[in-house]
Parts: sequence; structure tokens; C-alpha cells
Amino acid sequence: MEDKSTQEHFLDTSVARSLLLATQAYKQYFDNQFKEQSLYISNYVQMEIKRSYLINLISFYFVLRLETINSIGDAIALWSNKFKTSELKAILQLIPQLFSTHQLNFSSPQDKEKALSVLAIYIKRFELILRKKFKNTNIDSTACTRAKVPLNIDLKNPAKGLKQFADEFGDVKNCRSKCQIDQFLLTQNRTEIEQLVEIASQLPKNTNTRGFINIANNLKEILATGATACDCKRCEKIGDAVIALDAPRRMQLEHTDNSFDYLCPPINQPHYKHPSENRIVINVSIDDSDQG
Amino acid sequence: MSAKQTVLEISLSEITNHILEDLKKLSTCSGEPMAAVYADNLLRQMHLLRDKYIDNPITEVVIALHDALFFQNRWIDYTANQYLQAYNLLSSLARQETINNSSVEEAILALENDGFNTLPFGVQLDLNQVDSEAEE
Repeated sequence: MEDKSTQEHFLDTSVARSLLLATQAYKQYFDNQFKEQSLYISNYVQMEIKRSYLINLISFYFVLRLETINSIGDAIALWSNKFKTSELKAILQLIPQLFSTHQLNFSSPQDKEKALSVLAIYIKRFELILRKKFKNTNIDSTACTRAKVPLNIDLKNPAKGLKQFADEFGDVKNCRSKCQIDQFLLTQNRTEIEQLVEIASQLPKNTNTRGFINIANNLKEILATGATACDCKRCEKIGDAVIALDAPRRMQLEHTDNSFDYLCPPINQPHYKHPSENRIVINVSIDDSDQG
Repeated sequence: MSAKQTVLEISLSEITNHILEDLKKLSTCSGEPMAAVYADNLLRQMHLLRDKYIDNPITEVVIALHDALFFQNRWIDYTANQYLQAYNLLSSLARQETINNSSVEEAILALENDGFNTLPFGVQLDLNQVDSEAEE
């Protein structure tokens, strides 16, 4: 059995993102789990965090910057009325915390400019810490080009660098033309993918298996259609499979998603499923009330 | 000259010095009620720096420290040694003739290594996970 003190950990997006962004109780849970041990992510995991969080923050920056938006409150109102997915709602959790800590007035047009600066500085810092907090496996089998789009922000004119990043990150046609996701799936890991599709076909669809089966259905289509079925939108749907296949086998893959329970065993990838944030927060609340 | 005009003329180095003084004081009295005296002043000086010198490189580092200290009043939990480390870091940065982007990045990472959580804000991205758990 692997000595726990020397175990290296490869973080799925869900865990890496939680270490950067979760509530204090959940961060504390992971800190206790990993202590001083080596934590690794890949370029692909970085890309997923940029796609699910950073790019939305940048979009909010430009909503706030609009000349037709007078205040922080106006920007929040527009965002909350128009954008409803969980990833977009997450921005509405971050923004009030950030701007309240800076004691900005949500209805004051004067504080809009301060808010833009504070947000640009936060975005720059988030990208830095995402890039540097964890070790990189330096295995880049998919050669994901979106992952390598640089974010260069000059705080004298943050909008320029943020727009450039958004332009390049959003140019999925160009990014796809340079990546190797098709070779990764159809050549390097074809046998494993055929195996995963076969396993999925024999599973009943329920809460635990739903995510894995959806991934397998997308993989099945890629197998049937070939390279033309591989694009950045599809990659969003099969991300867990890419991460599992790209994980170093000597490391333990740390995750919270059910899909890895089905993705990892057939490819002999050591893995560990952590409880959800909701479960940890509820347990902390129960412990606190027991002590009260 | 009005009080407002006096504030407007305060220089970058003056504000930085005030911030350093407060950090030094906090390194001697953290955890004690007296720490609030310096935390309050530190917060005001940090906001003054942000409002007057937002695009100066040192402001970026100070704001990283600001967010770690003042989100949910976490300043009260940081130790004397951590305040001393922050003081040493910022005073070293302030002594540099020019502060480039890599110095800023190194300083922010050093704060993180010293235990300052410069991304303290909590966001729950997988709200749909709550729904799926409820179904179990």
C-alpha cells in the first residue's frame, strides 16, 4: 500500500476549484485532507477553471463597465435577471463579498470605477494563484490551446488585456485547430474509450451513473463520427474522461464527481471521491450546534 | 487649505509608511483588543492607497493583503509572526526603485505561502450537486 505521506495527488477541476474558491469550511476540509502533500493539476484542469469561472468574471467586468450601467447594483441586477446557470450565479456570490470587503457603495456611480479596478486586480490575482498554487504535471496530452491563452493585465488599462484574453479564449475554432484532442481520444486512448462506452451501455441510469453515462454517450459519438465530432463544446461534456485518462497513474486522482467512480477503475487510475461542499458545510453546522 | 485638499496631496510613500507602521504595531499586539486600533487605521490607509494610487504595482500587493485581512474581519485571526512577515515583505517591496510585474507576483505568492488567504471569498459553483444529493 502506498505510504500516505508520499502520495502525490492529482486534482480534478472540482477539487482544485474548491481549494481556490470554496467556503472556508470546505477549504479547511481539503487542507486537513492534503496537509503539506504535493498537489498537482494539469493545463487542462486550469482551462476548465478558466472556462467555468474566470471568463464569467471577465464578462461581469464588462457588464459593469458598460456606459449604460451606472452602479454596481445595476450590474448585479442585469446579471441576475439574465444569467441563470449555476456557473453564472456563482458570480453573484463573489461580487457582493468582494465589493463589500472594499466597502463600496452598490448604488453610487462614483464607486463604479473603484469597483472595476478592484475586480481587475482580483481577476489578475486569481489567475496568478491558479497558475502557481499547484504543481503542474507537465503532461499535456491534449495540447489544449485554450489552456495556454495568456492573461496579461496592465492595471492602467485592464480592459485591453481582459478583452484580448476573452477574444482568444473564445476563439474555439482557432484553439481547436491547434489542439490534439482527436488524437488523444481516437488514437492514444481508443481502447480505453471503447471499454468505457461498453461499461456505460450495461449500467442502469440513476443519480450515481447519470454523469458517466452522459460522458460515455458523447464518447460513443466521437468514436462513431471521428475527429469532426471533437470541438471545445464537446470537450466541455467529456472533461471528466479527459482528466481521468490524462491523470498520471502514480498519482491519486482527487474528485467530488460520481463519474470518476466509473471512469477510474477500468483504466487502473487510483482515485478518491470527496464529499460535496454541501455535505461538509451541513456537518460543520451540526457539529457547531451540538457544541452550542 | 481644507482637510480634503490635504488628504488629496498625501504621497504614495506616506501612505505606504503608514501601512508599514500599522503592520509593525499589529505584529506586537495581534490577538489583543489593542490590535483593533491599528487594524482600523490599516484598513483606512489601504483604502486611501486604493483610491489614490490604484494602478501602482505596490497597491496590487496591498489589496491582496487587504482582502485576506478584512474579508469577514479575518485580521483578528492572523498571528504576530504573520504580521511581521507582511511588514518585512512590503517594506522590502517599497524599498525597490522599480516594482515590475514579477515582483508583484512573487510578493502575492509569498503572502499566500505565509498563510494569508488572498482569495478568501467563498463561491459554490456546483449548486446542481445540492439537487442531485437531495434525490439520493
